[in-house]
Amino acid sequence: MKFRALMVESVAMRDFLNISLSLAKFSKTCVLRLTKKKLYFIVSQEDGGPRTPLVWCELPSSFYFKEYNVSELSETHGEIYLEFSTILLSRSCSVLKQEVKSVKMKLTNKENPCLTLEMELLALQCVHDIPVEIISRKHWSDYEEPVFSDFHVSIQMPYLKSLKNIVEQMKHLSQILTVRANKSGELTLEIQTTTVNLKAHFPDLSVKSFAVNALLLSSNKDEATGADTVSAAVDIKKFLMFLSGMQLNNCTAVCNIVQGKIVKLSMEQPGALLMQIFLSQLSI
Amino acid sequence: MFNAQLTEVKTVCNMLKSIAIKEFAVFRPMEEGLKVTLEEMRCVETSAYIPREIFSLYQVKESEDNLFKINLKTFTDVINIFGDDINTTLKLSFNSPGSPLRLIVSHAEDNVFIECEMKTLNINEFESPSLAEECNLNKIVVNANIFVELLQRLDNSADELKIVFQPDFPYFSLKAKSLSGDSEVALNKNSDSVLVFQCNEQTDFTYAFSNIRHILKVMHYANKVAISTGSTGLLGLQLVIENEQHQMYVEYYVTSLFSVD
Repeated sequence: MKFRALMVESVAMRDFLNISLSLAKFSKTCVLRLTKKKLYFIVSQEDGGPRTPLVWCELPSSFYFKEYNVSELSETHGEIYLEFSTILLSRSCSVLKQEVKSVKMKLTNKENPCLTLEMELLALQCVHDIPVEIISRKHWSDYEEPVFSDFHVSIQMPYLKSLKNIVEQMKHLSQILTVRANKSGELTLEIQTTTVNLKAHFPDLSVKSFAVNALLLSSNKDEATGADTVSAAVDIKKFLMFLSGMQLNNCTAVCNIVQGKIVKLSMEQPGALLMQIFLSQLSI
Repeated sequence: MFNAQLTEVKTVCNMLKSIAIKEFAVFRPMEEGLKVTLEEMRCVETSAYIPREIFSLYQVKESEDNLFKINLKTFTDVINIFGDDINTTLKLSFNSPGSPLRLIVSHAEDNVFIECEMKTLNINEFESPSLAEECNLNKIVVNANIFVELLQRLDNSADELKIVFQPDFPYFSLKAKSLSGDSEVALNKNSDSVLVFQCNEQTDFTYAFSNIRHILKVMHYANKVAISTGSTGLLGLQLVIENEQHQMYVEYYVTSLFSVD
């Protein structure tokens, strides 16, 4: 089992640092999946149920690394899954805030398996070992990308900073956030408590896709849900976590909803990053 | 029954936050403006007056039951939802007793608006005796920053504060008593900071210092403060908050403690 990669560009280092910082906000541990072309950071749900990804972050190796090499003992699978602490990773990556000439990442065996980062600074070399746990093949299925082919709506997200302020205030009032989007491009975030009912409207957003038919079939229960609105109720803290964990520039963010089931928030910087967060419907 | 629109949300929000001694407040829309009152155990009562001139639109039907009780913390959270630095416009409407208070908060720049319905509570036995008339004996009007300073100079761990008005020197004094000792400050009526001083007869009453400390928060926004008292020992503080073109008022009443000696 071998993994070696070399990062030299400062843009790549900055983005990689930001990603590591975001991951540390999402969870204590994460899984790194290494394949021939891509790296994946996967954070699982922590609710005691079956392990399913909460955060799915996909990075093309070519954007970050000048050299990149993964090989597994048996060539048939050619993938490596590692689990480690996001805090250690973000701490090690914090060295990248300084001027660093190159970063070499490799899998080493120093008493126990480690992900080793060798950072070449101007006058010194910095070596960090992050202990990792190799995940055996029988558990790989826990880290598969969740696929939902049937999103009822995909809508552009509004300006994230103002969205974050609003959701932060809403968090004081309620734990459950209903995310709603309609055909004409309005995203609504709603909280309901015994004393207050609050809706934040974000009109004039572009709708990437809208499936009316699927919606008519799936639900007639909620009378407020007309044929042209889709909604799901999710954990407000997780929603906010996505907003505060994402400090990445030049990204387009999209909100996808399956009626009454899931909200997928995705953020993409074409060619460099795709991050998705899966928020499942809370049973109220 | 009540419809209003406000653009100076931030000032109003700060003022309301600083008088929030309790969770729930009674809102009473009146011809002259909106009055927001909070009261604790009938010992402390504080009200803020937001005059109608501050509102860009103000419609009210004056009637006995045009008042409602809501959670003030939630109210200020909602009107401040876009954060501190942003200009927002707030619309308020209240239809009838028992109906919710409707709020619409919109952002000056971003294309975003908030729609909110707050449940209102029934008001049982809301009395509004004219507390101002009870504080008719002695009065001093000073610049607010001086009064803040006087209070801060006193021993802040003290439990009790005695306020003394007397026709002769030292005229107006504050005495704090605590386990570690006594501290005292006095203000001469001839000071530049004293705008009005009236003393008909000597009064000295003691108050719980914790009740007085509540007022410090809102005092930081105030320009002038009138301190008055009457024969029953009720202490009245009237604060004037000046804001660009308008004035807002906060009133604060505290009952005195029974004297021990």
